[in-house]
Amino acid sequence: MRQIALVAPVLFCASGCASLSRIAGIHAPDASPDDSLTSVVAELKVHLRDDTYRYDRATTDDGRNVYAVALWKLDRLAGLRARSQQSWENADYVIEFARGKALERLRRYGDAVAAYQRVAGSGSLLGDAAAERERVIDSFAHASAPPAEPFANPEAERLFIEGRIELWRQLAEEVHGTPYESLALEESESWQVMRVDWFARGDRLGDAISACENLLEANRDSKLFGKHLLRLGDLYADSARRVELQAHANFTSLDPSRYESLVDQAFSAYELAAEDRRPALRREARNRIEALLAYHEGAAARVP
Amino acid sequence: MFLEERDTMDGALRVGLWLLRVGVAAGLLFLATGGRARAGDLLGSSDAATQLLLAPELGAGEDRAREARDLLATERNRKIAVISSALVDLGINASVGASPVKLLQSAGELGRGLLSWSNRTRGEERALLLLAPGAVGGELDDTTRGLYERLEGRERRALVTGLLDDGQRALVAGQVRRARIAVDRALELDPSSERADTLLDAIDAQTRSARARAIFDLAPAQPSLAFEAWDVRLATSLLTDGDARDPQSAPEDDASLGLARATARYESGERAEALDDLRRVATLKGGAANVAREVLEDRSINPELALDDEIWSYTKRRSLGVLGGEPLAGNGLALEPENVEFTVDGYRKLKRSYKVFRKTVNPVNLLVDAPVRWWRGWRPEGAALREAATRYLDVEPEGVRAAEARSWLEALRGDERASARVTPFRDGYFVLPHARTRYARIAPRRVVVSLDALERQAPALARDLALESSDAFVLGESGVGEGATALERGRALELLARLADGLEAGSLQSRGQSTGDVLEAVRRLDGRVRTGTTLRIAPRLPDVSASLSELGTALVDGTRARTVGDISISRQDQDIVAGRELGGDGAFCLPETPCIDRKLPVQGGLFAQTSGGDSAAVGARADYRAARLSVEMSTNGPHATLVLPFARWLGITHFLPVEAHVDVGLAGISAGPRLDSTAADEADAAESL
Repeated sequence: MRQIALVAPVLFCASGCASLSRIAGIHAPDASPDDSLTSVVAELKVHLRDDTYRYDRATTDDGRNVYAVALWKLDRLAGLRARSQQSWENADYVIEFARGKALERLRRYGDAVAAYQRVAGSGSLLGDAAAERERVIDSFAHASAPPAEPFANPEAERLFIEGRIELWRQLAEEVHGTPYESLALEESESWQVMRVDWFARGDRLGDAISACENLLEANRDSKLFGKHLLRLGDLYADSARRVELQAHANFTSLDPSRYESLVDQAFSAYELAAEDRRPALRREARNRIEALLAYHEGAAARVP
Repeated sequence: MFLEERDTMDGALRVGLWLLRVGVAAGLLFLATGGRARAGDLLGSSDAATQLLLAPELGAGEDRAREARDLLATERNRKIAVISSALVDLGINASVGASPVKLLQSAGELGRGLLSWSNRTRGEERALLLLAPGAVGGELDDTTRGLYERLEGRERRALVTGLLDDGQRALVAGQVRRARIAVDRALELDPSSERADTLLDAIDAQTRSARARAIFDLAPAQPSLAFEAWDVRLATSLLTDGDARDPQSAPEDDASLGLARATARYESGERAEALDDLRRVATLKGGAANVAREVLEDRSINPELALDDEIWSYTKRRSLGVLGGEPLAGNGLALEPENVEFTVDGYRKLKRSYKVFRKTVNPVNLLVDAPVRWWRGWRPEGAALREAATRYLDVEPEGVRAAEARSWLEALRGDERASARVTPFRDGYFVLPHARTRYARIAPRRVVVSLDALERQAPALARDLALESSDAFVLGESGVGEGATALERGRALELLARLADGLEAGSLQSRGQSTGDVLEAVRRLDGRVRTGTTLRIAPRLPDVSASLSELGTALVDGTRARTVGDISISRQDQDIVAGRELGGDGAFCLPETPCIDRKLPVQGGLFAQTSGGDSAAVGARADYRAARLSVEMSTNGPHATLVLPFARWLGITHFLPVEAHVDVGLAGISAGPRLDSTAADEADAAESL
């Protein structure tokens, strides 16, 4: 009781009275349906310039992707109007154009191009704007197209990945300063991750580590920086495990300095990832540190 | 003033305890009354059993009635027992000053028990089934018939309520036929139900409406989706980045128009003005106003909101952190009213936060840790605030709060140097820093050996190598320090073997780490030398006494520091110990490095310690062949302890891990066996191997 009596005023002083005013300020939004085309378009429009490369994609207050929600609303509007393309009016072209914008932010470039094409060929007020958009997004759709045929060998896959990285890098330069730049950077980053993965899949952990360090150097501002650090930590940890396993199987003799250097690098990468602002990522990093500590404890006991 | 408050609190506490005692007494009285009623029932049931034995063919209806009464009595007693036990639990928790969480749990159980008092139970349903045949056959006496009618009425009312609820749901869902069937059945059971009549009227109205639509061939209402021309023009302007501010024929006070204007302003960079417009639109009604409200709540659009939230969070965490460190900064905000979640996870968080707060209130934290944290300018992790400030400046570089955001970034710059995006970069290249995580090293590194130990185990070698320039030496393949001498392979192996022999024979001792760990380090060095590595030896330069700040660090951060006169000060959790080993305590040792010293036959030391601010003591202790004698004067009076490890001396600790303890204090003399914890640890270690 004495502790409660001491804690209560301390808590009150520490937390301040702002809490109550904040509670009083909360209001529940009305539940009436959206009733104008402008409101649906505006809701999408305010997020079209978001820098989705540096920051997390915007979500609604219940955690849904704003672009997916906007697309869903537009699809519902189109469904309710239920007009064939031949009988479209201006409102239908507006809906279709907005759909194109939502689709491009969802990285569905092919669908976005199709939507812009439908508007561009209409002769409506939006036609010219749609044609311009179509040109840019068409290059994105081309760059994100799947390979024409299965890869003949792993090296062909690597060359394909390298080609895509270069292509997206060029596109990012072309659209520099426009809202499309963040999209191109995201795509380029994805392919760089693919390159790291390719080396890891091919048992080339040393190359994978180098590729991952290049990824971190090239994407220092990315919102995924923490995740890349985790990936790098995993690669170092896997390398350390491999060194220890090979020694355990008498495949090679254990070089303790090399093993410890790899473990040290893994811990370091996880520690940096644990400084990310996202609680989930911090938790993930801490869990990996614990897992590696447990592994190392066993490994140390096995060292002759 | 404090005395008055304390008197008032004491008075309130006394009244509260009196009320609880009255409650507990009432509960116990209630339990006793319930017990008597149950005993009476048992007497009646034994008479009935006798009758059943004498005339088994008679009174089947009476048996059923008796069973039904028993069932009802059992149900009633069970409910009373639940309430009584909750009441007693609450009383006990209040009397012993249990935590508020436990008090709330007990009060909740009591409330649940009271609320469920009049609920129908399975026992009641079974009793009704048992009484039904007798009621139909007219075999029940007046009292039992009255009971049957009461139970039957309760069941009917429950059925009617369920049917009407179902009917109402069906009507709302447009299932008129199903709603009507439910209401008809409810009316059969209770023809006087007003609620059923009202619902029936509603069903009739809906049926008439549907019939009228059918007569005039009207289709069911469809959502007509047509947009005003100005609405389409506005949307078009928005999509083409056109001027959406003044469309013709749009109503001036329309929320959509306001929203379009705000969006266009936002796009053109007039962010502050756009947010003002959005706030105005948010006060209107309709879908566009809803959108405006959602946008204003969106932290990515309204960076000011995010900045405010993060400043608030950072400031609160900083205050809490100064008070209770990282644990309180990380968990304390869960106690904020707005952060309380009424879920299992929320409850767990709340409990954790409460525990952290309770830990904060201890003298060592309040008198040592908290002031030091304040003096050092303790700060919580600020990545979220840094991002919010950066984003604000990205969106509104000339905004009203831009200067404040910049000042926060400036304030956080010191932390940024240690952040994940800055630390690992050198000239643009990614280079990982050394890990901070501590883990057991397996690579042989170095061992510190005292001159005493060398002279005892390898005197000739020490003379040959002229190892007299220092009190201690560092042995290793690298990183041994200045003035290192390379040892020839044979000598190196001999030195390592002598050290290992000494450790195993007990003439040498390890410092800081277990003897096993130090032996393992020596063995690994031996292995490296055998594979061709050169062992080096260098004098270990003596440490100077700790500075005032190092002493502060030892006290606050739980490290160990050595002061003038070879006195060491260390802290572990809430215990602070100052001591001096007689004959030295390894001042030459390095942190996290195996260390070997000569073992004296008798070891002793003087110490002063405080434990959590609750007690303090000064004393002396001595060890000889694992026997220990200690004498201390503490806040609880003088106290002496003698420990005689007979089992260890006889070599039977593995079977009998006990030692004899003799304690002499103000409370008298006591003697007896106690578990030898070191023997248990050794056994664990042996098993793990």
